[in-house]
Amino acid sequence: MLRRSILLLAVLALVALPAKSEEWKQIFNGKDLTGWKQVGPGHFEVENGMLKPIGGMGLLYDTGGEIQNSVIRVVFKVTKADDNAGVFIRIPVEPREEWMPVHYGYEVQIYDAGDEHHSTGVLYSLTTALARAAKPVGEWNTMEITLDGPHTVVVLNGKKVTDYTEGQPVPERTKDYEPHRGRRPDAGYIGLQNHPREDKSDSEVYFKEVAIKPLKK
Amino acid sequence: MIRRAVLLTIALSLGTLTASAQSDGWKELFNGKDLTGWKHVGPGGMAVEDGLIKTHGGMGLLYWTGGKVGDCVIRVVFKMRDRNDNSGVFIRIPVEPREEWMPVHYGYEVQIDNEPEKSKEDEYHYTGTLYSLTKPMAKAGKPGPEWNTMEIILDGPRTIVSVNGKKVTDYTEGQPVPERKFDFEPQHGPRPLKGWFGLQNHSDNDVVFFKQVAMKPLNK
Repeated sequence: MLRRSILLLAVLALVALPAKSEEWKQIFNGKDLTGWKQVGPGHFEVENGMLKPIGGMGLLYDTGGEIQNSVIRVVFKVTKADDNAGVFIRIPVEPREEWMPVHYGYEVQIYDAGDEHHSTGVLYSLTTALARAAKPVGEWNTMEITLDGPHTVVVLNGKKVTDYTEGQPVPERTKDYEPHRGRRPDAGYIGLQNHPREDKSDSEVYFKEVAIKPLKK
Repeated sequence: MIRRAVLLTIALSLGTLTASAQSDGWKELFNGKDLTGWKHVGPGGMAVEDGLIKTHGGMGLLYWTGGKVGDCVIRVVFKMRDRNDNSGVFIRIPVEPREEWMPVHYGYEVQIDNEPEKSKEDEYHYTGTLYSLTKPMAKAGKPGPEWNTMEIILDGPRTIVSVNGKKVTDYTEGQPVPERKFDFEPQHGPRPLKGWFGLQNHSDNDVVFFKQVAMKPLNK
């Protein structure tokens, strides 16, 4: 009986493990910045197995190339209410500096002191938050960004915050640092934003996981 | 006889038209009247005056909305208002422009400026160079108000610029370029084989007129 149980367990493990490791591809290895590249002011450091932004505004992008029809999972926490960061998606060209990603891609915002067009989980300045779902300061947040062709869905801690399809109306651009309007590509580079606080101090945001899995269709 | 002569004339002119359309193959992108087919981004703008495109203010650019081009020749005929004025022709822009800086950092500007030293820039910023990246093989720009003909050949990854019949630039992607000195200089890195292109309006002090912008496919 014992033997059979062990055999069963082994079979179960074999079946379960590959499925799990196949699904999510970790693009932050928890140790260093392999596979990532910084552009623009500031940088990221790895601290206790987590990515932490310094200075800014700049971005650390995934050098693995364009991503589409995928889910991107980012697990992060903030230390102060006005900590500011973001996840860039749909960047049409490999970035060389920090502004092309703003104007030709999207930033999924991380900044819960913002209004409903600039709060955590919205496409910065473009969409209205469907929910205010950020966890309190110091607690872990799980953000899942689904890129489904021209359709972008952002779920924060299990609640849908953004559901936007290319071409839907957006508010007028009111500030010169806000993104230019216009269609974004189905496939694009992704990155993490390092952005200082209002008082210019470093945002103490910690990213524990950045992972991607292909969308099942 | 008259009838036959008229017929002959018509036949000849038809023949000439067909021949010229075939051999010359230039497509005019500026219609000489208005900015149909063009769109402006960034500060300043462009206006059509007396059949010429005239820059004002800046820095911005007027890009051709016809899409990406490559393996072609772009001909630009321009003159400066003063002895020297600053402008340029953007090429190999990877994405349709929405503002003025992406074209600088991800495309090339074929420079128009015969006196770069007056703005503390070296010869890598002279008319016909890829701005800040290539050294002029000739200094062939004519001062205002003389007309200049610039031909830009996009041949796969190779870019050749001639000004008034003299080759100024012959650059192939991947060849070395000088270090970047100023933050307004383009970021380095490969440019696409095909890209959007446009005309630069540089500043209030720089007025440049464009008489012709034409394109023809490269015969390969």
